[in-house]
Amino acid sequence: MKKDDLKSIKDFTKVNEQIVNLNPEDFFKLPHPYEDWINPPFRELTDDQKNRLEHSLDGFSSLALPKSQTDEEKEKLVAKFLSGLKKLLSKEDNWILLQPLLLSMENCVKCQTCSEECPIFTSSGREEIYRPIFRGEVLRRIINKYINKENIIHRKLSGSDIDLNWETIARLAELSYRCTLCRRCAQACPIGVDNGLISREIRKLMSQELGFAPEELHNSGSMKQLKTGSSTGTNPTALLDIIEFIEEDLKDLTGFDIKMPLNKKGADVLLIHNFGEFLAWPENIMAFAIIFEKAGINWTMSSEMGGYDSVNYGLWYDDAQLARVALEHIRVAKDLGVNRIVMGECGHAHKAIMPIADRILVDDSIIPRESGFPLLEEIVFSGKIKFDPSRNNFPVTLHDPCNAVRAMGIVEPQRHILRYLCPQFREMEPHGVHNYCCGGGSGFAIMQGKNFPDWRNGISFRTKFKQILDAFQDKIDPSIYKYVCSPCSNCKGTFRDGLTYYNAFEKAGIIYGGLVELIVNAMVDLKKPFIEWELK
Amino acid sequence: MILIYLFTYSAVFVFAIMVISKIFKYANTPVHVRWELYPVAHEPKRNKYGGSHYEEEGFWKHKAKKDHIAELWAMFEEIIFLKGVYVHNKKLWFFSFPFHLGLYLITATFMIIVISVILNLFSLININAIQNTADYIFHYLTILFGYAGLILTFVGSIGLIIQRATDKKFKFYNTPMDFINLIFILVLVSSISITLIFSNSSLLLSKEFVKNLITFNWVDITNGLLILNIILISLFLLYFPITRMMHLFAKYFTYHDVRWEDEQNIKGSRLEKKVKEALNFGVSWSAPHMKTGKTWAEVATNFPDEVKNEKR
Repeated sequence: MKKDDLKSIKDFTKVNEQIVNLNPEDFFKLPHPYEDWINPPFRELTDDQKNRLEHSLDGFSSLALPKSQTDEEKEKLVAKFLSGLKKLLSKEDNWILLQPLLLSMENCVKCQTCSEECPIFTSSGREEIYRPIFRGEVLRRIINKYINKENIIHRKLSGSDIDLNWETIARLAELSYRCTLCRRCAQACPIGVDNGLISREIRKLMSQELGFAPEELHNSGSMKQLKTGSSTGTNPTALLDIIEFIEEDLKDLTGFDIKMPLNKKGADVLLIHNFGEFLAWPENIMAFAIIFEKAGINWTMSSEMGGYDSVNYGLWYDDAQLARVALEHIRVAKDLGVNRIVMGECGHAHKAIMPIADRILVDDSIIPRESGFPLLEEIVFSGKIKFDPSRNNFPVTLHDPCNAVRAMGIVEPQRHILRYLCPQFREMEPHGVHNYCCGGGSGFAIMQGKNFPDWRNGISFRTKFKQILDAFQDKIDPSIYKYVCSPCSNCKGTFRDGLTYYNAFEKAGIIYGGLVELIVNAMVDLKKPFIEWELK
Repeated sequence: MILIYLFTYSAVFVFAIMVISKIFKYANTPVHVRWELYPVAHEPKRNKYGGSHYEEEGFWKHKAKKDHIAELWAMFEEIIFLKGVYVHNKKLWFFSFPFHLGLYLITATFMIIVISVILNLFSLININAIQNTADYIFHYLTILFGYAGLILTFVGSIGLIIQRATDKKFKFYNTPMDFINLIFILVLVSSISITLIFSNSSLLLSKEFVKNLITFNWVDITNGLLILNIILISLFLLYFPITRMMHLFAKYFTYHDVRWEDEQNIKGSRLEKKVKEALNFGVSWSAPHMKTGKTWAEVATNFPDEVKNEKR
């Protein structure tokens, strides 16, 4: 079915038919040197996957929802969805976000002010199902008919005459994973309706009632984190080995003989990193250690279960998992008796442990939690470390992680540092709280199953990639190396895959990295550059 | 004729009950997790670029300050000028702004009429003749606000109807109610306008009617157009609360309780007490990892059985 064939929301409920086929030719053109770039065709699911998995939304499967069900099984799933929907609207089961959800479900006037703010909608060639209000409108109609039980006249007048079947639920669930929860739509909404929140709450319903969540977020994500200590499956013993390797590499690279402090009781700062840094970007771990040591910070990391991986995937799909992981972080901090938890470069971990956990913690669990960015700013401008900004004399732009910036207002510290240490720093447009998501938000960065990475690289990363190219247009020649500063581990994961997909290092000389790497690269004490110019 | 009065009382009563219950519903939801979006209007100075107290190392050592003037100004810009629509959707703003401003002015006109009637009951002003400065001010404020409101709403509603009917992005989501809302308002302002144009005494008669309503003096109404308007306004009051036009009241909560709500949870605070209450709510979610039947506090502090069985 071509996108123009989707005539109304009723088409969303059709059985046994893929309702949208994406065509890369509909996507907007990228700037130089990508004028002639055409996205490669999206990989299709294998025949086996097509037979097993529900993929009738757009040909992609992020949730691996079962397809072949008997009528009886389908009816059971529909009933379960409706029971979950009631819970989603109840005070006891959803106090966590009930008020924002009710306000968003009951007050959208469909003015479409949000549409052009959504990078997925615009990147896709304005595919109707990706319009921010689409999924909310489907859910709203289901609620009006099946939960509020509006009479037939009211239903006809309010357009709530929708048929509910398993295919509709499966598509709606998949559609909740075509939104990065960046909340630009909510920021633009004059009424304050939050379509990102609606996506998140659909995900929650599917997880908490039906037990469906992407493998990478649940079984291989938060469950693995609770079992082993990290969503990567790294246990405390393996962590010690990794830290030893990092210390050796740090000495080889910089000559600094730094021992990472572990489990130091009574330290001022407990630094928690996204564990992805240890495995994929160990230079970030090194850079934090160098800066903290040189600045004389009384800090520690933890090698205890629950204390060395800041990720909290529950933020994106499940309240119980969110609370359990957050409480693990708090437990470790309390055991160590630190003054404060400081988050490394990870946006969603910032949001989970700071504003969100703020309404989960009580009594002695309320301990200070801070972002690493203000502390880094304090150190850089304290005079404790000498810098030579000319060492960073290459084009640098800054990506704003949605969770730390739009959702928490941490805008200026990282810029303050970059303006000082990077002579060729330039902003993306728009930036700050109006930034665009990297395209990997809400778990997309780690969702590598089936053909989903094609969708992420081709659509959800596209607007961010355009922003990056635009920011570097005056120095776009690939012989001039350029640096996208991305102070967030998940965003970096998206950049790694996206820049590779677009061959951006070869075509435009673009790499990405964190903030602390730039700080260390500018240190006078450093004998040779810390940043290596390769796309890792 | 008493039926007209009773119908009007009923409409006002039902409207008030429905609006109050809606406000009560939103105001009485439990505490929720922080879900703010920046810029937060009351953040001192940092609100210019969307910064927050989280930008400060050791922010937790003191209570966050709030700039209430900045918050009031942001509310004023948003309510009166629809700043959000202007910034993000100018095409819509050209009709949405006059439409909303017109409705505010019409509402203000009704309030001016009610106030002038009340003042008249205390013999402080005249409503049937202009004899002093106060009479003059009330009379011409009514005229000015009333006519401006009617014209702006008329233009705005026609523009919005045309946009909804012709723009593809609206058409996909349009429901009969979306048009009924706008057409109802268009008919209402048209009817009032026609009455004012063709019946010189209608404004005075309207004031008399309001006075009679307030004093329970149910005298006959002889002006047919006025009766029509009273019925239409009463019907609108009954219809309004079942529509999404209630966003007028909801918007307060979306901004103050969600978008700008950044209160820190401090030990021993009222907020902490509310969190404790919420953590004791029961959980009935039924996925295997959820621990149905426990409280949220128990769910959060107990791992799923699958984890317990495999862990450590």
